[in-house]
Amino acid sequence: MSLLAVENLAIRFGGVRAVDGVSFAVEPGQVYTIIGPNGAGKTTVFNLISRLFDSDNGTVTFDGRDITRERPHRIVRHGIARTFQNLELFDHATVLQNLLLGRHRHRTVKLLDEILFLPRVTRSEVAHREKAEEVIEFLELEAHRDSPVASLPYGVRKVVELGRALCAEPKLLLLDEPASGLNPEETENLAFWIDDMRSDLGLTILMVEHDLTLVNEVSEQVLVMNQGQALAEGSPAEVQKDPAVIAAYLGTDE
Amino acid sequence: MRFDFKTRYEQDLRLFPHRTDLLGNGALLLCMLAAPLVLPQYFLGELTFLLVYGVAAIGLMLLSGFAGLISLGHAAFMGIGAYAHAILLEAGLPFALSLPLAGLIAGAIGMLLGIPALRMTGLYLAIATLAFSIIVEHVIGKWEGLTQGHGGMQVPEASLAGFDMGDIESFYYTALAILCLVVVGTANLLRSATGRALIALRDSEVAAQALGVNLPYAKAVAFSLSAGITGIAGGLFAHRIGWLEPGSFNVVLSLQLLMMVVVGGLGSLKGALLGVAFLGVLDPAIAILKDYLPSAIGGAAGLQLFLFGLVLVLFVLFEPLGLYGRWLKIKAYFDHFPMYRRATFQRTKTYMQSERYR
Repeated sequence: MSLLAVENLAIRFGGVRAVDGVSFAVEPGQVYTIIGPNGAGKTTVFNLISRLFDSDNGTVTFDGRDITRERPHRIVRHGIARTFQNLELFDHATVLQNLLLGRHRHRTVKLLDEILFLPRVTRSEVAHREKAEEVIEFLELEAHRDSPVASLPYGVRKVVELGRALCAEPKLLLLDEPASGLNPEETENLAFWIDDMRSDLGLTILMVEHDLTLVNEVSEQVLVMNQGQALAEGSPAEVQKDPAVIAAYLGTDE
Repeated sequence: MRFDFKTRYEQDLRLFPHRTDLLGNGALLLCMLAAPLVLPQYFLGELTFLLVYGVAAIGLMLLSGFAGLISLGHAAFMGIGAYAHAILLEAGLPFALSLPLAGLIAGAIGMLLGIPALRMTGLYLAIATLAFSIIVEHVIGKWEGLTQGHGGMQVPEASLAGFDMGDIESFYYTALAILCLVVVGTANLLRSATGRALIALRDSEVAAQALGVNLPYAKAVAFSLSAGITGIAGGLFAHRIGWLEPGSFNVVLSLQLLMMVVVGGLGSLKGALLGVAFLGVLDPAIAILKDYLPSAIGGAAGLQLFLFGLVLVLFVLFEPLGLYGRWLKIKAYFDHFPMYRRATFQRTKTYMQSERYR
């Protein structure tokens, strides 16, 4: 059974059909990529899955449960974590605090316990810290652990955001343009991490990406979107040969 | 230079991560404990005011400095706390019961205010809270059966464990103890998950939500805790001024509270207390200054407000992190001596965040 199944998803903003009847399915353990020209509705699909917007039509099923109308903050509890295209980090907090916020869904202690800082709060904080440290080690963020995010260069911030999503220990990771703004070396690191996340951490990854080198390297299945609709689906090599895809990206001769 | 050698994660969770922090705070507490032995009555009274303002500033700091929800109406919560406390005392409740109850009442009203505030941020929220405080002032003025209206209300005498709250020394120690409890409780909150959720709320609501922070709940918690703490400050304030009038809790008081947290440095508890101390010095300094200025300036109405505003503007322009930010820089200078670099505190430019989510 698919981990994530999107059926006939649609939303319109005023007269614009941003997403117009898109269906696809992501199998467990897959790296699934959505590509398409600007304004194709790729990020909107992400925002519909993570419930920032209410869809007008269609269903989203995750792990056998219908999450089409789930409350936004509960999405991560089902096991879906995401990153953002233009970074949505907590700028005035440290890297460690950002990562610990990734642990928020695993919070077990009550407000009153926290105000009194009972021993069980210390225990849970240390447990969360250990998990966060695993992510720090995985993404090689040791040097930046205590730096405020606002003082870090863009490439590192991207990694911090990835780490924050990993701290939530999701089953499915939504990466919105993970390579945008990264230099070739950083992009190569990212490719390795994506491979490791799938093989070592057992994650399924759904990403939106423009960098076709990265897509060819890590992705098995690609969905091409244009003007809110699915244009083609298949392996990276297949879709890049598809005449409809070439027409959407480069235009036609007429 | 100082190096941190930490071997266990618990060390990062301590209230005082370094021995010097413990020494410094311990020394401060000792000074505060010894103050009544050395200070004359008048100064002790003024210092008590500052302790009470300290409690209120911590309350406002929690909301504005950490959760990023700016309130221009916190005087209203002080007012609600003060009146609730006085009315409960009048009804025969003991101090030890009536003060926490006053906090709870203010907290509950804060939660109610938090509901419309869920959809507002920034300037709109500031205006809404301002309107709220004006409404509260009027309700207190008109509800004569309960508050005796504009005629004013005598705060009943009270005692705690045999100590008379009318006695300035007993009251000073009571206020100091409550301030310490509030500071420790808030610091505890801030080093655990809920505190981080508040910071998340301030920096990016979308991301907070995507990580599982329940926005309505988190905002309600921020509002009610903040209002509750400020309400307790109001209860203490009532004893200190002895006579309650709706006008005691007007916009000027709200602005003073906001100024304390901004001048002190948004986003730090120490900042709140530094801001209170700063205002505690500035206020009498202005009074003294008046005598030395030519009478056309010194006697001008609104000189105090003008100077308050000026100080606020200067801080926002030149030291947005407030006194606490300045303190961090001084500390970093000595910590890293002789390798201090100015650039440590210069932040790279904020990258564009997607506006469409807000």
